[in-house]
Amino acid sequence: MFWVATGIFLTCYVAIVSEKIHKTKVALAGAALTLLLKVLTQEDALHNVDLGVDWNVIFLLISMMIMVNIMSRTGVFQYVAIKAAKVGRGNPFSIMAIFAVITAVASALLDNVTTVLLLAPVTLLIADELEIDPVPFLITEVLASNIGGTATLIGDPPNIMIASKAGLNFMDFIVHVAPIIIVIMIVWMLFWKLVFGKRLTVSEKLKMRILAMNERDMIKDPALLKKSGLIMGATILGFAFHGLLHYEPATVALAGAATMLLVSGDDPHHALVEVEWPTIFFFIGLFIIIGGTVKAGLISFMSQQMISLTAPTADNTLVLSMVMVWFSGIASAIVDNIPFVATMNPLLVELAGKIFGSTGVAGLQHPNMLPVWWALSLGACLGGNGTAIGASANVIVIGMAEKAGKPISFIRYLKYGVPVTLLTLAISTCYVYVRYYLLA
Amino acid sequence: MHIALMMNKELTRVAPDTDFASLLAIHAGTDTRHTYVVDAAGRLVGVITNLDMMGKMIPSYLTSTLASSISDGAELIQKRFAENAHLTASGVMQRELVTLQPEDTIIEANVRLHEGRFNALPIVDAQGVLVGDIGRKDILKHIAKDICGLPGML
Repeated sequence: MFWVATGIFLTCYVAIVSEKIHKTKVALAGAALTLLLKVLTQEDALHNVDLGVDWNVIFLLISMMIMVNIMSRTGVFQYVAIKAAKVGRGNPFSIMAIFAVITAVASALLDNVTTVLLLAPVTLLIADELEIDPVPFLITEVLASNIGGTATLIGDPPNIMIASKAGLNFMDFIVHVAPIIIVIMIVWMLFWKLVFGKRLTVSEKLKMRILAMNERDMIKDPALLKKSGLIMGATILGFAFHGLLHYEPATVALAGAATMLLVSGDDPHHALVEVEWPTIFFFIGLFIIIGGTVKAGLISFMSQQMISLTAPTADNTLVLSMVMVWFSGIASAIVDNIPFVATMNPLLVELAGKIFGSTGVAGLQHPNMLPVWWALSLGACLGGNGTAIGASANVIVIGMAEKAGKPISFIRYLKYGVPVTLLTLAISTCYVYVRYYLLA
Repeated sequence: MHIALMMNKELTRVAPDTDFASLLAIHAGTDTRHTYVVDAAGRLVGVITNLDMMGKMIPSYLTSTLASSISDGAELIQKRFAENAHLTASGVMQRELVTLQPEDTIIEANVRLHEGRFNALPIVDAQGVLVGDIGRKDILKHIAKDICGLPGML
């Protein structure tokens, strides 16, 4: 069974990385094989918390997608963007920086792909009006969405998966990850000011075009905006207190999505059809494949290798944490960070069991284990910025740019992605070291 | 009933090197649904629809929300026109074509129009030479006149 599971896992990984076949097809085929070859039983795959599909992740993703689908119809996101461009007085660097902040905040609360999907058209229009190249703006938004998404439990799929596996709650991420993300945003924007501040200049006449834009007519459905805004606010509040209230994040999100569907008055067909089903099924397939490798012992073997490489003990996990930031960062720049985290999660659970003697809360949330999870989160989410294929938001924006006649080559993306990834991973390394080891 | 009997034979044909301004003038100035791009032998190589021309003149990334923020789009459109001036028919046309044969039936033609949400489809002979096109109106006219016997009311 060990070799069967390993074979399925490796073949699927190679097929996903090669991008010759759509990753969802690969994941579902791998899952089917895992079940057909009896590596996992269907009971394991669908109902076993340790081996099977993590329904907490699946329902959280679906529910958030439904809520965003309904809210995006109100026009509020694009209204905010145009308003912000006017606040920036049509000055290109100000617009770039304000858009980066808006993208980061929105990505922390919504999924990154939706955020960039809504902002990219506004960016293309503003660049058109200012007669400047939209590419630096678009890449800045991609980078900001991956950075902002790192800040919260619901911001980026790796965090959703990590939280579910390690039993961490929304406030844990706010306390441990969000502060360093704010620092990263500030440092990055100062760096960007040095790079773009002088390069981006346009005439006063062109700036006036931005000021002449009319954002008032953009809110299509003010009544729906009021209702859905309230529900979204309540849901975020629900996330903030889900730990205290003993609800899983998926329960909070499902309640929000159901309420929004009820009050929106529309046929649920639209909101449901726009759920990114290929991503959802990718997760389902992946969970089953990884479950197979856990049951067959591959993950246990890999965790043993990681222990011998980084020599963590119950008292000292410094090397492991430091390696985790960079290993996750580099791996996530090259392969999709979702399968990467799906693999690392059970590996770290095994590892916690071996060094802390428990795979329950005592082991997974041991004070010396927590920094390892934060290192994985920071590395996996921020590493997604490294290359054009590192995260879904990158792929989506590059596709949109190409459709709009502004193609972004792989190399051109790297020129932005690599320096920012190195900068953010370096800051994360210092943060994990100083906060959890030097000052602990 | 073969579509050869009711197909439209008055087509707008252009060569692949037709310039962008001429294409715009053709689409704006005539009732043509499509401009058919044909090679020297009359074989169909591409189709340009009004939608394709609009796509080149008005930014395709605009959403309905965003469109309402633009107070005057004339400058944006003029800019597009200048950017596209170098294009020729072969750079604008759709290359992946759905075509019909003269011996296809009206039922078949209607299903193909419906499935692909086309306004009209080109009809080519065995050599790929464009011989006509057919749209819903042509089929409806045929149904009313020849099948339901209402020639006097048309």
